[in-house]
Amino acid sequence: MDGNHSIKDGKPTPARRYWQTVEERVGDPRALAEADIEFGPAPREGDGSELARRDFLKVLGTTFAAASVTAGCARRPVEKVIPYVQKPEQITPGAPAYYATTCAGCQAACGLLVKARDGRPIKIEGNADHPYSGGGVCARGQATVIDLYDGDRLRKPVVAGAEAEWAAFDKAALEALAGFKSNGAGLAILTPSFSGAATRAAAAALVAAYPGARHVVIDENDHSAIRAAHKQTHGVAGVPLLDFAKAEYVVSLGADWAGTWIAPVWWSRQAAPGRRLSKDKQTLSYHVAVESQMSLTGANADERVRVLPSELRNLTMALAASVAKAAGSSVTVPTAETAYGAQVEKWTAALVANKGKSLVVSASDDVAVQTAVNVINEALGNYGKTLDANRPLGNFAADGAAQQAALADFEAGKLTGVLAIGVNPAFIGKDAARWQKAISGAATSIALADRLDETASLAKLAAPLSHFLEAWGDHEAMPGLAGIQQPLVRPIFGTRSVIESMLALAGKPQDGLAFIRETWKTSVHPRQEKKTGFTAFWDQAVHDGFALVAPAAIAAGGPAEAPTPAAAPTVRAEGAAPAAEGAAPAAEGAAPAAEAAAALPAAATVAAAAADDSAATAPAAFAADAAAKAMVLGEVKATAGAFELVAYQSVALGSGRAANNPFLQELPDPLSKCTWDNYAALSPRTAKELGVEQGDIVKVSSGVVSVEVPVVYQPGLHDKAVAIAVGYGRKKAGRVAELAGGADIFPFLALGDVVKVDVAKTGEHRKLGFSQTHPSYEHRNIVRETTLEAWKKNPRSNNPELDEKLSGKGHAGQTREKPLSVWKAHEYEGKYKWEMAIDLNACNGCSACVIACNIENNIPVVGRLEVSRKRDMHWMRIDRYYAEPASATPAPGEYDWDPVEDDWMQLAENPQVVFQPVMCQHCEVAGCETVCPVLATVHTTEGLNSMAYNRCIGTRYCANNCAYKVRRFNWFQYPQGEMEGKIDYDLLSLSLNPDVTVRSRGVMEKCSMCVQRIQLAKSEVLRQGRDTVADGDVQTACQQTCPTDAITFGNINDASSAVSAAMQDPRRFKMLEEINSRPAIGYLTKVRHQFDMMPAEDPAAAAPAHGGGHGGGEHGDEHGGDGHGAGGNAEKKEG
Amino acid sequence: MSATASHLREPLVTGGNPQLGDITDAIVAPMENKPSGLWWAAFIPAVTLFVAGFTTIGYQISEGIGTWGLNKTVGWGWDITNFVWWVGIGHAGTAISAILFLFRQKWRTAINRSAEAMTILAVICAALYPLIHMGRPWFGAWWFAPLPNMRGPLWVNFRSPLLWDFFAISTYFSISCVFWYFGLIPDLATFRDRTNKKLKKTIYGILSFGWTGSNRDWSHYEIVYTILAALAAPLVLSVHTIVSMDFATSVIPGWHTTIFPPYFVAGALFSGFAMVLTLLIIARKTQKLEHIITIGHIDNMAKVVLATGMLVGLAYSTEFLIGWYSGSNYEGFIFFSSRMKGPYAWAYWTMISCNVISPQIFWYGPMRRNLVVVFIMSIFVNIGMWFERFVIIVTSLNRDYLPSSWSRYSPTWVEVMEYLGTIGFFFTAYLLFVRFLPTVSIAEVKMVASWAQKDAHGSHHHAASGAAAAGLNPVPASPKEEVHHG
Repeated sequence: MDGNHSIKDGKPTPARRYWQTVEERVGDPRALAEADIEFGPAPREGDGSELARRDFLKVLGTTFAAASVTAGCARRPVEKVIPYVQKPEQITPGAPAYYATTCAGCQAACGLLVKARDGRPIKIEGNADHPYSGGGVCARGQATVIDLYDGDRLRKPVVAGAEAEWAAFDKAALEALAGFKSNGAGLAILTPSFSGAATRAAAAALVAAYPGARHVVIDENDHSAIRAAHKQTHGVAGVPLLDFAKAEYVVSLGADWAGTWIAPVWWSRQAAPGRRLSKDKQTLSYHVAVESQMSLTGANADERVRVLPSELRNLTMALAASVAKAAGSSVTVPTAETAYGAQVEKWTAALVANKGKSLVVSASDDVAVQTAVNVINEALGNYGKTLDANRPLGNFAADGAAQQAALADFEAGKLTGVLAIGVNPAFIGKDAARWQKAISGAATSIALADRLDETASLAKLAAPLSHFLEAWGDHEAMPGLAGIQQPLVRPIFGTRSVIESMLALAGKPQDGLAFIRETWKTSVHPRQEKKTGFTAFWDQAVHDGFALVAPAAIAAGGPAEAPTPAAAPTVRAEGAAPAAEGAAPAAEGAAPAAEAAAALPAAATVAAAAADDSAATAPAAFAADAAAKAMVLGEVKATAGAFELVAYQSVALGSGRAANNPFLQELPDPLSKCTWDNYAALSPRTAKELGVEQGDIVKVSSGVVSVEVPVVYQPGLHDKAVAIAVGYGRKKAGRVAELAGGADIFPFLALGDVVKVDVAKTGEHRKLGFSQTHPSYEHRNIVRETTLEAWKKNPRSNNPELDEKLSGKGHAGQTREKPLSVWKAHEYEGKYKWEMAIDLNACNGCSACVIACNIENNIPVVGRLEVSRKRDMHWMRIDRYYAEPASATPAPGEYDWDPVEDDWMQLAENPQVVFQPVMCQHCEVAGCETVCPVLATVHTTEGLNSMAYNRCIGTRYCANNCAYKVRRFNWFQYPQGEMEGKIDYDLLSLSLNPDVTVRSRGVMEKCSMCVQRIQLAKSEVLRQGRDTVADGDVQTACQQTCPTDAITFGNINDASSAVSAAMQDPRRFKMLEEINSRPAIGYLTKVRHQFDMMPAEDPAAAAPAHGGGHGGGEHGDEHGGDGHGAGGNAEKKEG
Repeated sequence: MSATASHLREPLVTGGNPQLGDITDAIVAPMENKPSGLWWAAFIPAVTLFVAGFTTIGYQISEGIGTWGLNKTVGWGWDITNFVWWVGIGHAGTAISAILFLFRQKWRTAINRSAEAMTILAVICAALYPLIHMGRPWFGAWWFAPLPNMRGPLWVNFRSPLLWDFFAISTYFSISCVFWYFGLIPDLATFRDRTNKKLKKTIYGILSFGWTGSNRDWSHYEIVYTILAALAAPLVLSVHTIVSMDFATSVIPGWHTTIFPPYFVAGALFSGFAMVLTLLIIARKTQKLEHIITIGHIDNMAKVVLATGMLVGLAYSTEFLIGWYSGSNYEGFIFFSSRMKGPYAWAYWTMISCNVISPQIFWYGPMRRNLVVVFIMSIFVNIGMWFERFVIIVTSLNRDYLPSSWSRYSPTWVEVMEYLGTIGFFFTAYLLFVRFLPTVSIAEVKMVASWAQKDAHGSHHHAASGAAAAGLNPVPASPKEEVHHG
């Protein structure tokens, strides 16, 4: 790849060469190598035998440092200044550049806009133009930029246990594969799903180079069952595109679609408008969650039922039978017994009432169950409306059956060679142990990975893959949505992209960019509707990050059956035929699908159109007979034990691929608020019965497999379940993952369909790193909630107006009466007063904002020990409160001075959850500002509470006097804290945002409302000759990344700004406004359908498995849905 | 004055009828003799603690405040607890020497010197904490001062109680030093005159500013001493008032309390008198000064402890009243739940037991004169008052407004060692003071000796006492009033 071409527009610069020295001109290899180094050769260092120039300075520095320490000073971090000797093209020092690309953090392939400063990618943002992910990025996506600077990545190929050059690796690999050249039947090529035309073409070339080789697709998030079920019912093997935006009634059967399931950013983004309220929209969509562990989906649901994992299957079948019957479907669903009959009836009625605007999703890995889900959605007429089977998602092509077959063949000795590219089956998934054996037993084993992970370390040959920000690639996240993966930086180490590696191993080495351009020219460009030339098309696609084209035949990345939605359902794309060959939209084939395909290009010309009605295809024919056949329930293999194990993915780590990412390890779990650990989540009742407390280590065992993990209380978890996150306990991910430790849960999953375990106390205890320990908001007036009914009657329901004199300005508008204060009020007479509104209805707690804030503002990772000492540094946190049962709510006029304390039993067993993002509230009368003796924290004329880090002497008085406890103190020089030796700081510091000061120890810090972005926007507006910064000119990091747009930020002095409107919403309240701090952050009251997670009778109470511990009556009476919940209490007190 | 005119009042100097020389001899004896084994037995552990504690401070400053147990919610812990505790202890010295002086309480003469020394040492210990508790003391040490600088209008924040603290403490420390030193001058001259050693003579000669003991010297002395006392007296009120404002002006429930200024002053006197008792009960024994620091002194101070203890108890109950009466859920929660029943309830009940319940024993006269009881009580009060500050600081912070941020705090070994280090410093310096300076004001005690009192109404034939009497003599009290004193 030509390093000098412009990556912004993709045009390679003309082939003019410049030379500086004669050596370079004549091609002296050493001079050329030096010329290729971006910053020029390093100054000559000593040969080690004598004191070199820099070492001398170091020694000198050390002497001074030692002297300073004895004099009682802090060791300052070493500062390095690297000047541009040669200014790179298109880079203006100090000016950020944004490049569109596609996220490879998970399989969803969201559109990104990555910010680069001085040639370094430093911040991931959502690509607002992307039809599905929009500006939203999840926490994991945000953190991928940190992976780029991970010092534990593999830097060079490994041949025979030693580092080698690429040439040596390629030679060794091709030699090792030579035996498969004529007959590749013994070779398995393992890759993740490839959806991009070029990537798939490269994979096809690789497979073709070894005729007969088996291409096995392994995805970290395997949705084979959904794929297989759709193959049965719709003839399209794929995960359908869902549309939560049109779904007014959603039933999730164990699928955490808001948190971790398939493409949570897409789904959250779609679902968000349905959760918003305004004068014109007085309805809320209704979400039902049936699950064991409390997930983000369950926490945000209107109705949540906690079931055992083993009960989900029958419940789903019962629902299918019930819906099929009620909706008059011709499909006969085998009946199943369930204890949740009442619920099923209720949901059936609601689903049928919402025909065509409902959605039922399931995370089951049982094809029969998924088929039943398809039957439900089909019976409800949801296909073509809320889900589209004809446009399967591109990156979910894994086929469980093919994997099983390959494993069996490895075990039988039929497969002797393995070439793993970008997959880690030796850790991820239930068959990890079998894959380990298969790979280590294979005669030929080659692995391409970003690090010497569990798979690569078993292989005989290993080579590093580039990070997605270093390599060209492509995606087709769904048919017709062709995405470009554009690099922002040349590979930091000697890594190579997936495409280039595959081509090299196919024996056809080629530059990745050139290959992609070629492939796109032949297979993507012809599918475009606008008849632009290829260069213009390509330039636009690179600029946008994606192109909307006609959905071509999309072979699912391998030889596994891969139907083309554009063709008749019965037609299968055979073998390794790459998409490239199906260049033009296939017009022939069965009527409905073909029509759809033909209809698409026109609609797809507008980005947004892809998401709306016109783009939705007509439903594929529903194969009722096949469905009925597929719904035969298999036998459930269960192990013995007292508790059912729920192996879930955490929001932070997912499958564990990014386990070496310290930012993700330190991200508090949205529910448990625990960092750096996986743990055995137990319901408080179960924990009490077992006599264990949080942090007590228990042994969770199921026959041969056992792990020891600490206990964490999880209200809402089923009493007979123990939930442990997968993805932890990685041994080969790197130093951070090693520090994090944890237990690997995947081995349990191999034991059966339902894994039952015993939980035993070990007597050991560990201090866990919780960012929040208190579960309840203690009936305090800090979060306000009301019901939809109450809100409709009174938009200020549960949000009483404070005395206007006290608040200084009425809710109704901008009137600035003289506020009641001893201080002279700030006037904000300039152009700007920055404020923020957060819609508690929209926020689902996904925590993407936390990571976005961390990376934008150079917030250090402090490590588990420091978090356990309650010294987490997050400027932005999401407070999670469990609502207490109404019985615990004090009567009007009474006080409740008894905190939930450590007795979590006071919480409801299936509590409602409130998420409240909290950052610095930028108070107008700020406690912090008056108490700082040295004026290190001051109020700006634009209403920001700003920190002068240089001035701070660290008395911590401001933090004490902050009612919101948002200030964070640098207790140590954090890079030299627990993380030292775990993080390669020299490398990681390349990700620092140069616009934000890196704080030293002894200094207080906090949210600045991204003041650096505000300043940039102001100068940009000036540059453009405009008057003021308007909406859209500036977004805070948290706001930008929020998948549900819960955060509105802007200038309150501009009456037309969105934030001005939000601040006038009758739902708007300020946290702790009664103390008269007058925050700049407003929250919008959370409006629920009802104050009860289980509005109907709780059938679980009657189920024999639970011993009747939690009676339905106990829940049934809660709150009564009359606007009388915890928030109601606040109102009474207020009055 | 009629100390002996009324036989209801016990003499301020007992032990027969010591003459001028006897008193001088008794007081200077510890300085002129070699230190006793007892002295060494106290000094060595004190120095050890001092060195260990200050080494720990060095470690803490080089590593960071993170070596303490504080967190994002509880930003102050033992550091400010100790700060307030030490400042409070310092108060008794000034109260005794200045306020009792202005109120003509003659019994102060036996104890004021060591009480003032205690003040100065306690203030040094206290002042250490604001310095070392800063994240960046190397800047903070001088940024606190409103120094002119080149940063344009950059100034200190005059709204911050921490800045007021800076002024209050530094003023208090300066005045206390001057007041203490000024009172020492006649005694330093006595020393100069007694010693034969050249070096000592030179040093004490310089320190005593050429004091001659002339009438002129004495009359100037008395005037200045009175002025200094008048200057120092309001500081007793102001310093702890301002320290209390560190909390009272904040927004945190449990801190945001208007009763704090008088409450803190009463608490300071309470703990200060207790500390004076602790020190003097030991000092009078080891230095054989029982006839100068008499049981009567102990009795008086126990009464002050009882009175201030009751004031403190009243303050505690007022807080509860306001917690309930204010109608603020947060306020009520702090007092009725967090303190009484929360995770630090043990600290709260220790405070109540030591400060409110146990001093009630002093209603019974013999208990006030029982040295063992008084000594134990003085320790109790010191403990109780330490916990009072701990309770105010930590239980208010650890559960303030947002339950999401509630957290616990416990000290690390670093904080414990540093606290012990200040105690080590205090005793080290106090023991050195005992060795090198007169612990009792020689000149003043002579004025209250019974023979001086006898003559007080008549001719002022002793230059020293006569001049002193002119300045010091209170309005003769009526016998009726003396009954009260008895």
